[in-house]
Amino acid sequence: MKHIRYILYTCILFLAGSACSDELNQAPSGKISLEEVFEDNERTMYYLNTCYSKIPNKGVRYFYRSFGPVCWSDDAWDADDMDVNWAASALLYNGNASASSHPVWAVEGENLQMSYWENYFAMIRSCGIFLMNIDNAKVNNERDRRRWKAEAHILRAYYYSELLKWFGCDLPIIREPLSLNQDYSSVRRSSYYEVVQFIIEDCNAALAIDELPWRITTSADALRVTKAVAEAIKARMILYAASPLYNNGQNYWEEAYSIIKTSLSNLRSNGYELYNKVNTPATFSDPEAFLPNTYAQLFNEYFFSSAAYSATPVDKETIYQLASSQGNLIFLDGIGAIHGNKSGTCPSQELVDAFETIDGQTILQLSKPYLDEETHLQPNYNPENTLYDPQNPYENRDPRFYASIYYNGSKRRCGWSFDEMPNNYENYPGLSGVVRVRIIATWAVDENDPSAGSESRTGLSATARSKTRTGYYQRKFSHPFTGIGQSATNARYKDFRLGEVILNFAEAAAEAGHIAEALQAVNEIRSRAGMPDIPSELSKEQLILRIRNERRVELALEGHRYFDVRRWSAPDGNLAKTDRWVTAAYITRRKDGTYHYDRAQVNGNERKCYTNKYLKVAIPLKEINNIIEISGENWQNPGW
Amino acid sequence: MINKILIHFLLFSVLGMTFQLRAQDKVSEVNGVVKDIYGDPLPGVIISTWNKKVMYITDYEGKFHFDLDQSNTTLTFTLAGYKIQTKDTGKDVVIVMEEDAHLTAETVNLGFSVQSREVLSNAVSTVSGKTLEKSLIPRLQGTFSGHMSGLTTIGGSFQPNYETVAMYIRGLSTFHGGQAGIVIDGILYDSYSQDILYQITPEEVSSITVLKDGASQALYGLRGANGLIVVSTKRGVPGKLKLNVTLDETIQEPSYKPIFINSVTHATLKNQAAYNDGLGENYYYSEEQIGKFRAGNDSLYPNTNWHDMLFRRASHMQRIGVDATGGSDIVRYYANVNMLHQGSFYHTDQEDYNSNNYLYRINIRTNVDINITKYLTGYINMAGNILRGNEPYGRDGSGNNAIYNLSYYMPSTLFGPVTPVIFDDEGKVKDPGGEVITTNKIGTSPYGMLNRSGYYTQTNTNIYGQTGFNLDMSFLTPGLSIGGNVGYLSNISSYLSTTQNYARFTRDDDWSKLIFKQHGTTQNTDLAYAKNQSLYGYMSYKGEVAYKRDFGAHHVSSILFGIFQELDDNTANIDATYDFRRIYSGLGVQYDYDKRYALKFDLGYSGSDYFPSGNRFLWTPGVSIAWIASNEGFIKNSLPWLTMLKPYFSYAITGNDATGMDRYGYIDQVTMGSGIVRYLDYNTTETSFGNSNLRPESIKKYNIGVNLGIANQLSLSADYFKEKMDNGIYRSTSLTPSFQGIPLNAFPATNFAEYENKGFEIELNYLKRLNKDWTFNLGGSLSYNKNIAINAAETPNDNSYAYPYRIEGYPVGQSFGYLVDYSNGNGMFNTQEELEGAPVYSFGTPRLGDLKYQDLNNDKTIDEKDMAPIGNGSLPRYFYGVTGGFSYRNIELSFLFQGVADYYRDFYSLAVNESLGEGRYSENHLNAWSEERWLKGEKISYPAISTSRSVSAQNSDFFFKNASFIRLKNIEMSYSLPMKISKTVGAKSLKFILGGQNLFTIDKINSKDMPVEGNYGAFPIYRMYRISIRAQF
Repeated sequence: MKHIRYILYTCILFLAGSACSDELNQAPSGKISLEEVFEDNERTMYYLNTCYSKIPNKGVRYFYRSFGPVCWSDDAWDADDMDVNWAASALLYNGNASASSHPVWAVEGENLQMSYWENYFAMIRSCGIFLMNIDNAKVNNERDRRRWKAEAHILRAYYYSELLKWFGCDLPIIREPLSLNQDYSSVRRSSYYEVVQFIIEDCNAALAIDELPWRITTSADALRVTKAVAEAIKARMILYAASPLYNNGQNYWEEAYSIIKTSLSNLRSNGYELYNKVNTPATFSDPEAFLPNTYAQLFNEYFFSSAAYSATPVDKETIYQLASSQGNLIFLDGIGAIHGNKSGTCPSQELVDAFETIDGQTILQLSKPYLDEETHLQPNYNPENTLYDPQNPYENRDPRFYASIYYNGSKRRCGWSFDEMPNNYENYPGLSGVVRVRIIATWAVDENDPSAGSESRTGLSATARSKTRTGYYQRKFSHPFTGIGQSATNARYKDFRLGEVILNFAEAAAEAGHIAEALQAVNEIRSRAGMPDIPSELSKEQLILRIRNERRVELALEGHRYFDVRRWSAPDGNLAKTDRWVTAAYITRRKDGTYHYDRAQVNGNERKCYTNKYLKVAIPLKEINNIIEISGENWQNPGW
Repeated sequence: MINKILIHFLLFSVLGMTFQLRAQDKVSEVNGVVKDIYGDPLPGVIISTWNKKVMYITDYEGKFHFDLDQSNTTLTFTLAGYKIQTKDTGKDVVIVMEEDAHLTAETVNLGFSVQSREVLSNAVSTVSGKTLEKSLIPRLQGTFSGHMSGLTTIGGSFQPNYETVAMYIRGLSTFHGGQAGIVIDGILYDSYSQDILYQITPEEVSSITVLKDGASQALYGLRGANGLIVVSTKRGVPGKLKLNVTLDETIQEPSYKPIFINSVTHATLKNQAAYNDGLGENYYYSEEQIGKFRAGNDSLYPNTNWHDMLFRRASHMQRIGVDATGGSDIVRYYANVNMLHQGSFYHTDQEDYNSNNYLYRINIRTNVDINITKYLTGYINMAGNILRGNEPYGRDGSGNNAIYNLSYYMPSTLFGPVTPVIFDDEGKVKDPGGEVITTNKIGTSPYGMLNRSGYYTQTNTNIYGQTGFNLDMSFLTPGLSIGGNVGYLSNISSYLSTTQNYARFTRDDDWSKLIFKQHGTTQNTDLAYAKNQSLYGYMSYKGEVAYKRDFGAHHVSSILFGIFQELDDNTANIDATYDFRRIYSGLGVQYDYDKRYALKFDLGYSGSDYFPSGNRFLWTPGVSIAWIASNEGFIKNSLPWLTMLKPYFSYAITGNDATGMDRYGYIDQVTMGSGIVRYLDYNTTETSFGNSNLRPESIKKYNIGVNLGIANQLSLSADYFKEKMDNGIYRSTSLTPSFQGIPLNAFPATNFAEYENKGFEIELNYLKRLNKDWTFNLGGSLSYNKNIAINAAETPNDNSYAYPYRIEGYPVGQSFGYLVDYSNGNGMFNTQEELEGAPVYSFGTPRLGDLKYQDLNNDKTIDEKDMAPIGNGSLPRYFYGVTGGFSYRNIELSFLFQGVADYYRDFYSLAVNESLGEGRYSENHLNAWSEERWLKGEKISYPAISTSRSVSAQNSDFFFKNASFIRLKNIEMSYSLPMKISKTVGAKSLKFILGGQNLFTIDKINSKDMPVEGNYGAFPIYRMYRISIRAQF
């Protein structure tokens, strides 16, 4: 028995040995919990930075070096639609978008698996956590605490506004973050209007805090939000809420009018004003910049320049610019021949038609711009316009036209990556890389006289990525001279500017019947561009059409048109009149060197993204499946 | 804790010393002879006393002679393949040994314990090192396929000497896809197990055991669930020095290579692809140009065979192996040295340095057993190897694969590999040429990779030492002993990377001249050097108490052990900042009554730092029982032909901690990153939310089996198993909408998933010795496994999906794709009418000759809603091997066929995408759809080719082909010279061996150039021939 005891002792010893699991306690360092974050001044500040982390990239960085919604609207055609045929533009044009093959991906540089839906709700949660904790967090300076709190309110409003813009549907208002074990089936959605009210509530909470500045004055603070941003968000979102697609049959125009009026007045009284003069004439007034007048020059300069972070900046118009610069845009999104790579955004004939002649007459009749409303090949010319010549179409146009678009016959001084070919009559001979003035030639092969050749570098092509799809190239954001061997960094993308707020006001005022104020506002925009006033005798309907057209021209290629044509639609409507057929200038060169101007459909294909369901973006399929499973409710937007 | 264990060991060792007793003087003398039933002498029979204190071995004439320090004891005679004989000591002993077809005499190594096969109640498969040596693959796991039931092997890389093999025991026991663990000489290596196996040559191995059922895995705790492969290396046998020398030469040639698409065919196919895409006829090449390619006499119109230009038809491998064994009753040793040289695969022309591949590997092993005192025994295993290899372009064989892959992209119409020398009118060199040629789309060149990109030299040293002791504590109580061991392993790889870049040139579009333009901006650069290294190391400590005693007909054997193990990982794995630590302990009890009723109980208790402290440890009990009916008197008497009948059953809970989740999945992780507002500095990210209740996965495993033997000739064993898990670790994000704001990939993992795996194995062996000269054997094994994910908390898609679920109800790795509508015969759009009636494809517009997919949900649109399950998961359902052979006097022949069935792979992504690069054509595309072929009624075996990804390039059952095959894996024929002749050169035996590996394969793909295993762009499976000489001195 004694031996048995020995055995037992040994057994116990071994079990004790293995049970001493201290050896497995290797506490990972460098990992902190959320509670610890708000017990520390710096970490609390870092958390606010987290709330900024999903501010989207826009402009050329929407996705895969694409201007995103600019190309998905009737303003432009994306020349990457064939080569990058898996990306959003191709999915939309081909009508292949689905709730699982989601056309609106996350912005470039972020996790591509995450859509705006996930990103923005993640940020709404972060802002919520910050706002829940900030009052009791350890913050060394009370002024910081109040400013940070104001910023979190605005950021939450911003993320909600982006969700509303894209998804356009009722959304849950999540004031306080949901917990991991929440019963999500009890979460209810609020209407578009209620969400906008929540956005305004957040903005007002921020505006009430004195420590929040009106303007960012140091570059370390770049991207931080200000009172001006809060005003601009309010002004944009109440306009959206009042628009036909979202107003649910209610008339909110008067409310929109008064909110935007207040915002605009607050912005003006705090130093915001339209950009109204050329500040670097050496570049933009150079005759070889080919900008015909100071209006075109200042317009081009404004969009090429970032606003300085200063108390007294030259640019007092920009309210919020995104942090990242857009690189040398002309290489990625302009005349493809310069870099030999891609042309990206090709402005459409429809956009070109929207630019008035210099006498203030529209080219087309705005109430019915095309006789064949859906195919856009037969323009319904404005009979009162005497300046416009369809065979010399680029003469005598709105100065903004020359600052926004390269067309057949435009000139540009730069070097580019190709030797000129003999059939490039305008520029041959010419070596690649050499800086000289070239003529943009966007003509196509003449089917009646193929021997006349086709433009080999900048001409029309239905498939090539480096050539234009439409006969036009984007100019608005680019420097007048950059090319091979010379680069220039483009401006930070202007997400909010005073010009938009004024147009928001003009539209709301006109819709609410405050015609005089509407006219005054729209004419302020026009006079900055050197355009005559809109006549005051127009009916309300006519005025609204002119304001909408002004918006299209002034905000061209800035990403507004995609959302505007949608919000102007009825919920059961579609975009057949605007987005179905997007056309190109079809220009042929005669042997005598003159051109013949015509119109053609890009690719001969209609875009399939004009039907009712495309008024709103699909909520990701996985999310919808989950929500149905949880609550039995289907949140999906119509048609998806 | 380590210290504690060590102190305990030391204490016991000292205790042992005090009872030291040296071997005493000779008491009795023993001699005799061992023969088989035909009277032939049996050399190599091990003779031992019951406690194995004395071991001896018979000589070439079957004779033995030794002195003993005790008298009147019982001697045991063992020889693999023969039944054990016992005999009392004496003079002129004559032993006749009888064959043992059912191997009941064998001892099976279960890793942490051993057991006699006769009473074994577990499902295991074994193979001897001698069998594995027949394979021509020098890496150990390359030799496994087909020899052991229940082990599925999937080849990864087939490049000689870089073979990688994924090993799955009974398919997948968890849905994480874990592979089998490795136990080498009693020490478990829970990470890098594959890598560690590579460091062992088949020659060093005495046996391999595959632990298949839960009860045999229970002691391995939370590393048991994926099954274990137990490797036992050879140990010394006493006697005079015995030396084996093996020399061999192996010729290796690819078992297939893509057929050469000559420039006429390439040009024609490329034109056809463009035509199919609506680009018109002769889009790339005019008729005149094709004519010039056809004529083949114009250097402007080349026909370049890139593959043959770069690759040798065959490569060589040489090997020398020496092993030595011998010793006394105090020390026994086994030593092995193995040297290998792998020759080159390429034709290179770089003169400044050697960019061709080569590899030298030297393996050394010494296993020593020492009887220190009468009570204390110990052992030391030292093994290691040095590998020195050279590779072009990339490390660890990656460059070889890149070059191989790219050689298939190079069109035969491309002039190459370098620009030509150009002379002026006076005959002087105007342009020395020699610049690497590529195309705009490819942008690189396999020739450039091989000859202008530098080389990588790696030196890999791997050392592992194991030492242990055993103290016989029978002075306390008979049968009690304690022991322990320490294992150390260190693997260091050092790399010399030299790199060089080269200018690339492309040919001008004008075919009438040879003009080349520089492509891109890369320049010819000098060779640059860099060094880097990676390493990992293991420490393992084990203490053990064992008790083994017979009480009459009751046989008891038990062990109790504790193991602490630490892995220091300094390889590229950046998460591995902390050592990985695990603790294992367990109790194993074996009992049998009269070798008729056997019971085995195991209890594992193990923990790892993957889990929070309260849930870190897992109990893993296992129980198994067997009834050895054939040892019952009534069967022996009434059914003497039934030489084996043993039903057995086991049940166990096994554990798994390798879940693929974060290492510290139980803690919240808030990490700092750089923020986007500069003034606000960093940002904080809630990277993941911990689950403080996380615990190891446990898998319940059932096994029922039977061993059957007839007339000591035919052996059959059959097993059926079922495995079930209901606490699988998974990130449940169903019922969790993303609007709550926490990214779903940061959600905590929880123990909830349900999973099931089941299957069966059958092994059959027939062994017949016809007479003195002739012996035949034939056998085979068949394994079947099928797994299913029962609950993964998957949120189904809505009812518009033909198959709303994509995970639940399917095996791991289930593919989904479109089903081709074969109602018109070939499944393609043959006419314009068919095309017009087609549903809308959501991923492009179909052309004539594209695949017709079935609109399963009838919504007139082909989109992902129409996808259906295709294939049946990531592993083959059936895996089998057939072995056989005969021996006639000095001649022996053996073969192994190995195969898989019920296995489907997506060959589109592996092999047949013709739109890559400049058009990558293979045999598949020669019969591609064209209107002409269709009208003529010619064979069409591929949809219309395209210059870009066509709508046919979707996951579909057209490309998901049956990858079943059967292969003659190995064949060996040997001839031993008569002893008279071998004696003249001083050898005891001299054997000539001819071996073949992968000689032929029968598969269902029916393609000359599409491999059934591996993939098109990677090194192919090699066919090998070997001649060896084996001498024994």
